[in-house]
Amino acid sequence: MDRPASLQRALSLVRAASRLVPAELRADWRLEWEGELAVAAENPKIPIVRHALGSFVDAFWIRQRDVADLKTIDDLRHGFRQWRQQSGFVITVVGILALSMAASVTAFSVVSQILLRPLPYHEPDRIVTLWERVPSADGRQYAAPGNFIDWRARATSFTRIAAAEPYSFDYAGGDRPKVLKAMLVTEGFFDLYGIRPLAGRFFLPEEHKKGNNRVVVITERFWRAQFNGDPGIVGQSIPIDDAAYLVAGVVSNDFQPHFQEYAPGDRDLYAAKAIEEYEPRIRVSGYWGVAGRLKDGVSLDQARAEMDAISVRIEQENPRSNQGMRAEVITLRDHLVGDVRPAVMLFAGAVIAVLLIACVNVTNLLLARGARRQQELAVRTALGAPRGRLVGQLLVETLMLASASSVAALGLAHAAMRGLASWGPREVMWIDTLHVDAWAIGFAVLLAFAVTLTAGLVPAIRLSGLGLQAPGHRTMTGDRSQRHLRSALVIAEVALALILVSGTGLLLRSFVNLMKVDTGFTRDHVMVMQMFAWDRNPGPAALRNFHDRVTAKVASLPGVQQVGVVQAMPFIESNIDIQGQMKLLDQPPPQPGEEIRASYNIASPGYFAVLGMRPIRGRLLGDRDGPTSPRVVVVSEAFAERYLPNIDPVGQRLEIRAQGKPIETEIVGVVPALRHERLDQAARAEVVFPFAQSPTGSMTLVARTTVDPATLVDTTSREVWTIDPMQTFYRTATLEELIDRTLVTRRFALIVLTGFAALALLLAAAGLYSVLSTIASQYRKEIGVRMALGAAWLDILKLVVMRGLAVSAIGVAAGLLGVLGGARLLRGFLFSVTPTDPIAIGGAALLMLLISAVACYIPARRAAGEDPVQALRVD
Amino acid sequence: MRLTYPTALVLQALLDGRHHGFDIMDATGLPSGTVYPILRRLDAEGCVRSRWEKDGLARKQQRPPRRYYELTAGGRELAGEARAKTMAMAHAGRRLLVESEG
Repeated sequence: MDRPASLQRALSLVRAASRLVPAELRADWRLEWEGELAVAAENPKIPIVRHALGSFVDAFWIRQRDVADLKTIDDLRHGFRQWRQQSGFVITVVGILALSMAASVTAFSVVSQILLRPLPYHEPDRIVTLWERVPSADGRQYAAPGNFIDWRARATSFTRIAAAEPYSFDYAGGDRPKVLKAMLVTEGFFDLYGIRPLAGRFFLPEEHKKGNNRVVVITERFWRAQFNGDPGIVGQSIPIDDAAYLVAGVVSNDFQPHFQEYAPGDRDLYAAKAIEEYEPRIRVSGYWGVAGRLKDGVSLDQARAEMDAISVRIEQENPRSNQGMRAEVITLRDHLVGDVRPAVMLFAGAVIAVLLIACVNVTNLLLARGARRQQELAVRTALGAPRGRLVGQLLVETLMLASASSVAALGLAHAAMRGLASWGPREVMWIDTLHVDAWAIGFAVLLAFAVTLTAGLVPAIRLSGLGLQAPGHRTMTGDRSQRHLRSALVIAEVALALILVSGTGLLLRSFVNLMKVDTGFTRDHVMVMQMFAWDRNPGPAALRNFHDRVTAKVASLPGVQQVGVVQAMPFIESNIDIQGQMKLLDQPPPQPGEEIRASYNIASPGYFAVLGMRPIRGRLLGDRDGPTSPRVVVVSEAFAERYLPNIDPVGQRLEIRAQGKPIETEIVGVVPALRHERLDQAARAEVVFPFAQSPTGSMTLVARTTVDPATLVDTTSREVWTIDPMQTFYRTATLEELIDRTLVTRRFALIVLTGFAALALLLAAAGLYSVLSTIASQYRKEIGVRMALGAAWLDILKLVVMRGLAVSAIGVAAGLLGVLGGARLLRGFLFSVTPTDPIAIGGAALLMLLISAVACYIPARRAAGEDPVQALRVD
Repeated sequence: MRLTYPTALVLQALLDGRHHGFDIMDATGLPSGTVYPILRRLDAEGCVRSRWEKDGLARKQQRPPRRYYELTAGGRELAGEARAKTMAMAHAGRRLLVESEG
C-alpha cells in the first residue's frame, strides 16, 4: 500500500475512534493523533495503520476516565484492580465456585439431556409399555406370550399393541460365524412408535404369518458396520440361520425400545414374528416386551382400569397359571428413564449440597476480606458514596468472580460429561451423548447470578453498612455480630458436609457388604461362553453328543482344569429364568396361593466343579445321573428354606410338569444360595436338573482355568469350530467381568458421592479455618492478657481449638438431624445397612470433628505462639 | 502511581529526550494503545506536562501541529525511581516482562 493511502486509512480510523472521546476533548485529541500520524507517515518503516488502531484504546481510556456515570464499567475496573491485588483470594473463590458449579451444570445436563430428552417418536406421551406383576416376584416382569395374545385381542384402549421377543440369529455372511442380536416383533410394532424407516420399509401384515416371515429390518448400526450403509442392500437377501432373509428396510439408531438388552444400541436387526402354535399356552414365564399406543381420548388411568379388568378375567379363565397376575401399564418415558431417577435425585441432592457449601464458603471469604477492606469502604462512604452504590459495587465484584467461575465450570463440566459418556453406567440410556449444550451454558449463566445473590448479597449489605462508622474505628459489637454471622455460616457448612459424608459412609458400607455377599461359588479364573446349539443338534441325543464332544475338547486344552455347562448362568445378561409350578409329593398339598413356583435350571456335573460349589446337604449332581438312571434334581438353599422349612429336603419327591406331562424326580442335594442377576438380589428358589437327563441347546460353557480366563476365549472358540464350524457365541466373558458389570451403577454412585463428600469436607474445613483465623487474630489482646497473666501455651491452644470445635460440634448436631431426614434419598442404594447406621454416621461425625480440630489447630498454634507484648500492642 | 514496566520505559524515553507520542513508541517498541494511555495517566498525575509545538514548523511542513510531552520535577523523580527498578528488573529478562505487562 502506498503511503498516502495508508495514511488516509489511519486517519479515518482515528476519526472513527474520536467519536468515543468526550466532545469537549475531541478536537484536541484528533489534532494530536493527526499530527503524529502525519509525521510518522514520513517513515515507511512505521506501521501507521496498526498504530492508528491503538487510538481506539487511547479513546476508550479517556472515555472511561472522563465519563463519570458509567458506574458498572467503573465497578468492573475496580473489581479487576481488586483481583490483581488479591490473586490468592480470587483463585480460591473461583476454584471453589468453579468446582461446585461444574457439578451443578453436569447434573443439570444429565437431567435435561437424559431425563427430559424428547423421545424421537410421534406423540411419545401416548406410548405406553405393558408388564406383568405377580405376587411371588418383586417388580414388573416381561409379559408371557399367552397373556400378551389375550391383551391384544381384548384391550380397546390402544390403537395398537405389539410385542418384541429377544432372539439371536447366526449370521454366515461374514468371514466367521457371528451372533446377530435380534428381536422378533409382532405386527404393528414399528407403526405404534410412529417412526419411518431410514431406507426401505417395515413389515407388512402378511409377513407375520408362518412361512412368510423370513424378512428382517436391520438397524442403522449393523447396516453401516456390515454393509457400509449401502442402500442397495434393501430388497436383497442375507444368509441368516442357514436360510435367506429378505432385508425389508433399515431403522435408525434413534429407535431404542429398550427391551432386554444389556447395552443400549446393542442390536443388529428386527425380524417379523409369526406367533407359534404353542405360544398362546405359555403364561407363566414372561420374556416379551410389550408396547402400545393409547387411543385418542383414552387416559392412562382408563387404560390401567381396562387392563386390570382384563387381567381379572384372564385369571378366572386360567386360575393355575395366572393367579394374582395383573397387567401393569406405565408410560414409555417411565420405562426408559424411571430406573435411573433415584440415582439422579441422589446426584442432584449432593450437587445442591455442595453448591450451598461453596456459596457459604464464598460468603465467608467475602466477609473476611471485607473486614480488611473496611477502611477503603469507610473512606468511600465518607467521600459521599451512597450505600446503594457500594452494595452495587460489591455485588458487581462478586458477579465477576461468579462469571469467571461459570466459564471455568463449563470447561470442567465438559470434561466431566466426556468422562460420564465414556465411563458412566451404560445402563443409563443416552449417557454416551452427554455434552455441554446451549441449555447448559444458559444454566451456567443463571447459576452465576444465583450464586452472586446467594453468596454476595449478605456480605454486600453488611460491609456497606459497616462503612458508615468512622474510618479506622472498629467497634466490638460490629466485630462480634460479624463473628456470629460467620460462625453461623460455618455451622451450616459443617452440617451440610456431614450429610454428604454420612451418605458416602452409608454407600461405602453397603458396597463393602455387597462385596462380602457369599455367592456360594468361586468367582475368579472362570471363563464363560454362552452358546445356543439348538438348530444343528435336533433332539436330546444330538444335544448330548454335541455337549460331550465340546466339553471333552475344551477340557483337553492347556490351562483348563474343569469344564461344565449350565442353562441359566448366574450374572449373565440374557438371564434365562424359566419358572414353573411343581408339587412336593411327600408333603401335604399347599394352601391355594402357596403353590410352589420355582426356577428351572439344567447343569452338568462340571458346572458345580467349575464354580467350586459344595453341597449344603446331600450330594451334587454327578456322572451317575445319566440318561437312563432315576430322575434326580438338586435344589437351591432358597428353595429348601422357602418350601421345606425344618425338613430335610434330601429324599423328598418332587413332581414337575414338562410339556404337559408330570415327571417325578427325587431331591438328592441342596446347593448354596444362587443369586442370578445382582448381588443385592434375593437368591433364586431354583431346581437344577442334570444335563444328561434334560439336554438343552441353551448351554453356557464354563471352564475353570489356571491362566487368565480371557486369554482362552479364542482357542476355545476354535476348538468348538472343529466340531461345528457354524457355532456362534452369544456372549463370552469371565465370571468376574459379569459380576463386576452388575456393580457398575453402585460403584459409580459411590465414586460420585465420595468426590462430593471430599469436596464438602475440604470446603467446610477451609471455612472453619478462615473463621478461626479471624477469631484468633481478633482475640489477640485477650490472649495477650491471659499469657501476660501466666496462662500456658497449651491453655491458649486449648482455648482457641475448643472455640472452633464448639462451632463445629453445633454444625455436626444440626447435620445429624439432616442426615436422618436425607437418608431416605439413599434407601434404594443401601444394602444390609439401615439409613441410620450408627457406624457410618458416627464415623462421619467423628471425621468431621477430627478435620475441624485440624482446621482449628493451625490458627490456634499461631495465636498461642504469639509474644504477649506484641499481642497487647495491637490497635 | 503504580509503576509498571511499560510506564518505566515511557519515562525512560522521556528522560532520553523523546517528546512526541510516536517517537516514544519508536524508542520503547510499545504499541500506541499502550503508550498513549500511559502518557495520559502521567499527565493526570502531574508527572508530565504537555503543550502544542510552535505553529510555524507544522505549517511549513503542511501538517497539523504535534503535541509535545516533557517531564515535570515529579516526573523526573519518578523516572529516576523507574530507572533504578528497571535496572534491577533487567536481570529478570526484558522480553518476558514486556510480554507479560505490555
